[in-house]
Amino acid sequence: MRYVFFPGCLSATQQYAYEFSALTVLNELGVEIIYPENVNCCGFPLRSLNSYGWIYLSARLMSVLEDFDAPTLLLCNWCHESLTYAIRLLSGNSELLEWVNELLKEEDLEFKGNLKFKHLIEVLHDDIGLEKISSHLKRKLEGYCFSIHPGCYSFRPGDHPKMDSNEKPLKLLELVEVLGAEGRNHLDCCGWAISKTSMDVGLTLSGNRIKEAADSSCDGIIISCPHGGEIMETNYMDSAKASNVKADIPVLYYPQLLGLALGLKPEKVALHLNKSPVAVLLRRLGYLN
Amino acid sequence: MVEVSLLSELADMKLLDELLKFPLELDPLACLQCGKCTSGCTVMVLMENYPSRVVERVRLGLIPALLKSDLIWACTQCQKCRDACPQKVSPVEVFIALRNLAVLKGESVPQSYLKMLSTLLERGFIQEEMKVLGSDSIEYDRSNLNLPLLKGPKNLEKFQMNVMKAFEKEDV
Repeated sequence: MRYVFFPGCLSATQQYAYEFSALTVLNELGVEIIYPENVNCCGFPLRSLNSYGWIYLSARLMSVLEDFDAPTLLLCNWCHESLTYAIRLLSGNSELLEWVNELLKEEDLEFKGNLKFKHLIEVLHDDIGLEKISSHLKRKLEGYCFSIHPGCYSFRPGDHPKMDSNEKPLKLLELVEVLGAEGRNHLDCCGWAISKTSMDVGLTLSGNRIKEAADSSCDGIIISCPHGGEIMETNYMDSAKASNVKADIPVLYYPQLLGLALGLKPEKVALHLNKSPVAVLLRRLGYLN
Repeated sequence: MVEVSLLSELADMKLLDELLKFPLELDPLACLQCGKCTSGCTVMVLMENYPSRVVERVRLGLIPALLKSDLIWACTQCQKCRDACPQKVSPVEVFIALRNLAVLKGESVPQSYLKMLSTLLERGFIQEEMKVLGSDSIEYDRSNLNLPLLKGPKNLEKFQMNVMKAFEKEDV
């Protein structure tokens, strides 16, 4: 198995724990990775400014990635939705397609519409599969319960082809359960987007997700999108404060949890970069005194 | 004294036409005011923003005041309203179209978005590489984590020209 790896802006510039742990577990599972050059932001966070700007950026990114003889692996739910949506608009509007390709020609690029792409969660769940993951496990996480936070764009909007079921997203849940742990789906919004204009509202939404996990007696929150990572993990303290959460609820990227179950040491999945109280979990797992 | 304005003085149907031209999946004219979008809205209670009311104002062409309002930026794009709508109105996309129109009409835009755009122009990504302090008190970045370089646009000058053209575009 071979993929072109596109981490997206947030993982590449700040949420290093996600990219680092994803690379580690993919390597453990025998997946080959290619880093592309000449790439750019998918544009989705900027579509509030101008839809054409966003579509150009997504088309440009796809035109670079579709030249490889391997499918693209994405870490970010926003990138996944951005490319999905842009393809729909470009394939249904010949004038838009013509305009975008006129611009791309200036950069010796062309959007052909042939890109195959998958999110990390799809690669792990659908391509590698639960059975193979299970056969690699060195320890079972029995007795642990996690709040499963797949993130809005992994299953919304339901009229777009999504990576998971709109009515009942199960992939991240099953990927956690195959490790021996129990999972509880929590499908509300992390608040990242609104934090760009109203930080207090974003932190309250994020804090509410942490509160939801605490109220459901979960031992942690498992995420698979760097947007949730930035606001719930990196901004854990402010989020917990905003929603008055007293409990310690570690927030981990799925590949970090998977890595522990594969028998890897915490630093191999960059758990030393987490800002949420991961020490609580690591102590219980026997990595800390 | 209460000032009463006629609807026709506040409405601008040309702006409605402009709004509907953006390449987005939306249909505010199909709204039946059932309120499902509002009842499930993530930020409704926190920000007192009612998507169905915004859509109704758009339908009536009451767009000039909306373009100056903070309401159009009070949406977290969770897509719940889009899924809830029986009419495929997609209120979230109506908010995006209103923001796009506000930008084109020179209304004030949140600084955070302008900062992302300027970083994109410089590097191809919306954020500069940051240093992250680890629990071992070491500052980490891509290089000391041995993460491969992520290389942005080869020809930055041409990329910048294209980005500028694309972000200034009004219609096809």
